[in-house]
Amino acid sequence: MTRIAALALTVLCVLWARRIAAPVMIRRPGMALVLGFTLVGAWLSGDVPDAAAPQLTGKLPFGILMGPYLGNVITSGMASQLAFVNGIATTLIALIAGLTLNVERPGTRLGPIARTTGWMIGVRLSASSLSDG
Amino acid sequence: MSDTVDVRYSALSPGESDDRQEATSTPGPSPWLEWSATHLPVTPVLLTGVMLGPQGLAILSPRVLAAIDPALPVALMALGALLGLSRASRREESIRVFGAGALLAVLTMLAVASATLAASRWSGARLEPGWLLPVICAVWAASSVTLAGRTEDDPRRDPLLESEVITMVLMATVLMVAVTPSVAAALMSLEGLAIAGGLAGAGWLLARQAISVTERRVFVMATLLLVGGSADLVGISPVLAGVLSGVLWYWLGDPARETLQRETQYIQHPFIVLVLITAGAGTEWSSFTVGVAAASASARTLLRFVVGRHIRRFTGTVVDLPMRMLEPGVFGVAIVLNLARVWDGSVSASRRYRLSSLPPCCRTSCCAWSPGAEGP
Repeated sequence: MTRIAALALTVLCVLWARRIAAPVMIRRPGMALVLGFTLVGAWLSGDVPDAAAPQLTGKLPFGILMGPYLGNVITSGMASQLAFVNGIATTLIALIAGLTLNVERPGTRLGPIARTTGWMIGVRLSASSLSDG
Repeated sequence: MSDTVDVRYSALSPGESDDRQEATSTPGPSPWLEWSATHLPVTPVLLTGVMLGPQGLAILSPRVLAAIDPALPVALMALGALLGLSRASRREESIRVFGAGALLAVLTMLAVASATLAASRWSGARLEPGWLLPVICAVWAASSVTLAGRTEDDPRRDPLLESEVITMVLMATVLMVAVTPSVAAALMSLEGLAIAGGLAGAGWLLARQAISVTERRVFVMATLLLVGGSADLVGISPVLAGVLSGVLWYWLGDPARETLQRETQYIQHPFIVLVLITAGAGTEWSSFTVGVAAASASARTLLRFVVGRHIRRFTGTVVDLPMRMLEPGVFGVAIVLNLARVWDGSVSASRRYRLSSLPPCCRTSCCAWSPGAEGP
């Protein structure tokens, strides 16, 4: 309950700040504000109590609800400010995935996995070259 | 060098994991992570910024400075929050100590104003714009916090200096209100402070509910981003918003206050470096700024030596008065950047301010600011 109250207070304050800063938002889109809001919102919305669903299930509806096409708490201008976070997040996820990959663990399955991956890449490349040609 | 935010970061013990645990747990002290903002060599970091800035190696070009600009209000807010928390969390002190601190700050401002005006008149250059003089005085009084000193009962703290900071923040607020062009703008500033307070309150609620180390850090970082970002968006002082948040957290109490303080301290070091490097990179040298800075630095140093000793004796602080000269404190620099943001929010960081530091060989440094010479 406290978390919901905190989230509601945050949403209200962000809306209030947006209202009084509307004339300058083109020059100052408030990247820090939107980043903080996204951080809190994503963290709390993923933590749905008594739900067996994965965390992503809560984050997506929250994004839709707060996004420019529904609630408009985060405007399209503010959302575009988060584009750089996408790049950083993707890089970190890929890097951490690579760091945690233990090549010894698959053991005898490593061969079939490599073959399947090779086939998939080959088929994909062939299809691309055929469609381009 | 000493500072008011003489923080002691008690980190989690090395064996503590990120597992879920009680948010109210009080981590024990770990000397290897104990540090103080005061231990940061301010002048070398500033000079590094000068060297890397557009007038130096140009590694920090105006474009790069503009890219890191959104982080600056968050850094300033974090410093302000620590200031508010440190001011509020120290032991009760007598009214006379606070009064003495205020008196010293006022005397510093008067001395700096006189010297600066004299230097300006002597050089034949006018101090433009009109509010530049109060800003220089405010910055100098704020940088007074770097003066070393100790209380008899707590060698790590100097309440006198903390009083000066609070006085300075109050004066900066009055100054901000005084130059506010209209009632509507003043109301907007008040609304901005209310928003900052609301977000700080939300952060406190979240910190109270946090059940893991990761969660605590996410919530505190998000709170700093929210309060600093909202202050920047609305156009109020991020330092003031931070001080307000710090005082509010102290007033609300609870273990959440310790969480907020500890996690803010945890990330303050990079923030301080960011502030100093950015300030250094924005330095522009001219005979006028160096002249004004030299005059104000001399006046302030002289005053501190003559008057500071008596005031400190009067308030019962142990005077460790400095044959070493005074350097610009982190808060002096932070307030320069803060004022620059407040008064000229639309200009990119690299063009917002002039910050001049005299060479360290003079054993004294100072800040002078003359924004808007290039225009937006």
